[in-house]
Amino acid sequence: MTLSLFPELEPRKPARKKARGAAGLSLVTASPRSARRRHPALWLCLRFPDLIVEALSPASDHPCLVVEGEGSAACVAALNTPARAAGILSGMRLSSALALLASPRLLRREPDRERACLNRAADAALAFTDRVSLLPGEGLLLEVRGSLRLFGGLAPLRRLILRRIRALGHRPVWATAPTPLAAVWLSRGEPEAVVESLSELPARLGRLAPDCMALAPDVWRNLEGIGIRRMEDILRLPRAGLSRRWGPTLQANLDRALGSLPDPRPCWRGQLCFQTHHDLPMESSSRLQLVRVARHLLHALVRFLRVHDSQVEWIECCLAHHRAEHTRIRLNLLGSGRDVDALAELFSIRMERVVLPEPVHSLSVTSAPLKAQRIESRQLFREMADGESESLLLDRLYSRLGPERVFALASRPVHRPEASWQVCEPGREVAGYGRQDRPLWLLSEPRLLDSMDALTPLAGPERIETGWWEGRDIQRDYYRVRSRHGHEAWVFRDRRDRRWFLHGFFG
Amino acid sequence: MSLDELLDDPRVFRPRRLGKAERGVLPTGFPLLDAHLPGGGWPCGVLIELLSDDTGIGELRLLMPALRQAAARGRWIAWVSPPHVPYAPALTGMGLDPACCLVTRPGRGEERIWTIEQALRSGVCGAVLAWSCSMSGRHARRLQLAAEAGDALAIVFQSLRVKHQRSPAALRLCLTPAASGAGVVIDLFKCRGGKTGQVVITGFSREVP
Repeated sequence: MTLSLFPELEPRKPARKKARGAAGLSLVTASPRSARRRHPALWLCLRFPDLIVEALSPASDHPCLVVEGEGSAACVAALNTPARAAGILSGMRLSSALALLASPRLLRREPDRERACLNRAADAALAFTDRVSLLPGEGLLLEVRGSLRLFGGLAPLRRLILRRIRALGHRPVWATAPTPLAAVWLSRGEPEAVVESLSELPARLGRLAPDCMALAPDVWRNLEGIGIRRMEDILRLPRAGLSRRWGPTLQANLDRALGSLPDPRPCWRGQLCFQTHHDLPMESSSRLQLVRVARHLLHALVRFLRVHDSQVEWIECCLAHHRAEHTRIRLNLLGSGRDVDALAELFSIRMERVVLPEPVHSLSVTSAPLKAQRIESRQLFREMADGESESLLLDRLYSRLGPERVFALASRPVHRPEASWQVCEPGREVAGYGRQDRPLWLLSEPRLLDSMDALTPLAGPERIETGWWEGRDIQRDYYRVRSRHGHEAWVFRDRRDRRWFLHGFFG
Repeated sequence: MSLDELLDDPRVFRPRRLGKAERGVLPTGFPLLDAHLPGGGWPCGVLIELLSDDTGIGELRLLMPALRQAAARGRWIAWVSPPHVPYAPALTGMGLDPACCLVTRPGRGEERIWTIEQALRSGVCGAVLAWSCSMSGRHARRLQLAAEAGDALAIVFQSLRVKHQRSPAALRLCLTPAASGAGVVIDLFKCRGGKTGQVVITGFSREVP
């Protein structure tokens, strides 16, 4: 068979008859473009305008303000309905807001909780469709074309989704469009709009104001300056001129919204957790055997973490009994926790202190949601300690002694001696202040001295008077003294009751 | 050929010299004391016992230069069951960063020995200071092995009562206040590889080098 040189000049061949299968049904050849034409995507955008407030879950009837910024630049980032009814607007200075409201509840913005809220909503949305995408800080995008048949149409599906999201405490604003970007813009400009096909998209998008695109302020000012009031004005502008004047991103976004350019969105896959279970062949109370079984399960966990290149914050081992309640052992991991021997040792340390009410018949290990692995490179020479062995030592000490008996020290710039030191986490750099004339040992409570005759003063009185504004005022004269036996101590005389106390030793 | 030349011949095997070169040594900061100690400073990786019944005679200030050097290498200082709280502003004033001081308060007995062993063995701590742990010979050997593994300065403070008990520690000192009142008398009554004797240290310098 020879191929023709100029196929467009050949006489048109009749269309091939559709192949008929055994049952007489038409078999349609499957090709990607035809599949896309027959099943165009339909995106539902759910925006949470009050996400900042909903993440902090305040009481709904008391006015609440979420504050951002410090000092005089503090302004209101978000507010709830009672506060809005009092006339406060978002972005207002805190001082002006406090002038309008008597006693609102002030909360600080917490981006971690907003992210967690969004993750929870995405997990809930996974029940309706498997293509869920996050809009960070704003909301969710759901691709619902594949779920329409199961849930019986767009309106019933939307009702179910909205009911589920509202049960989580959010108040979503929604819109539906064939492309994800158009759905986002419609939810900002024209909420509750439903656009089913690509052909009516330019007309519906044209009616919106350009601020639904969330442009940069200078671009927005430019567009306003040349007289653009609606989206259809932008769509009418020539393409070359648009990209030359405001960069290629604006034109590319318009193309994506109208469906000319593809707009792939990353899918939300949920948060991975590890969970495994093992039934013992015979009930046992022997610690050795339980540690051995747990070691196998921890080995599976470590393999899982290695495959996903992640680390976890805590692991919970659950020992199941028949009649008594399950014994749960929770190991908090500071380090990467990738070493099976270290995990097994932590488990055995904790098991020594646990009293088993009954023999154990099964063992299960659950982990926290996986986080990306943070690797610190080791040093070549052992002079400097590396972060991994530090966290390993702290893990061991915390497991056996408990976190309240292992700590590091930090100083606070406070005059009162017993308040000028505090407990902190080991290894953290806290800028401190130091005095060379202070004793190395400080007694936890000043001890009353019976007699002062055997003490010779070395350094003269230092008066410390402070704390009168807190109600715990002290008026003390501190001396550095040496006893008859050669001990150097730090004593003070309380000026109010004229008694002498011992406060520290110069070690 | 003189005796020194014969002994310096590399074909002659001298185990004591071999052992000395491996361990690290932290200079004490007091030349009188350095002259007595093997290697010219506190030996790392061996158990050191400081026997004293008194607080406030300068037992910590004696160790401060060595602790500063251990912390300068980025390692931690572990304090196991100190009798009182180490005062953070005073530590900063002495040149020791309080954030690298790890204070632990285990209970008596086995837990305390375990904590010291973990701190020594991990290699994270440049120095471990432990108070009043009653050690049997087996415990002391465990700590000795852990100190060798981690190459840390291992100092155990004990009461003067145990002076006449046998102990596998390589270095044992008694600290008593000086008769004149200012300073401390150090009685090195067991010093492996160094000279025993008495050293009197009268002044602890106030400046931080």
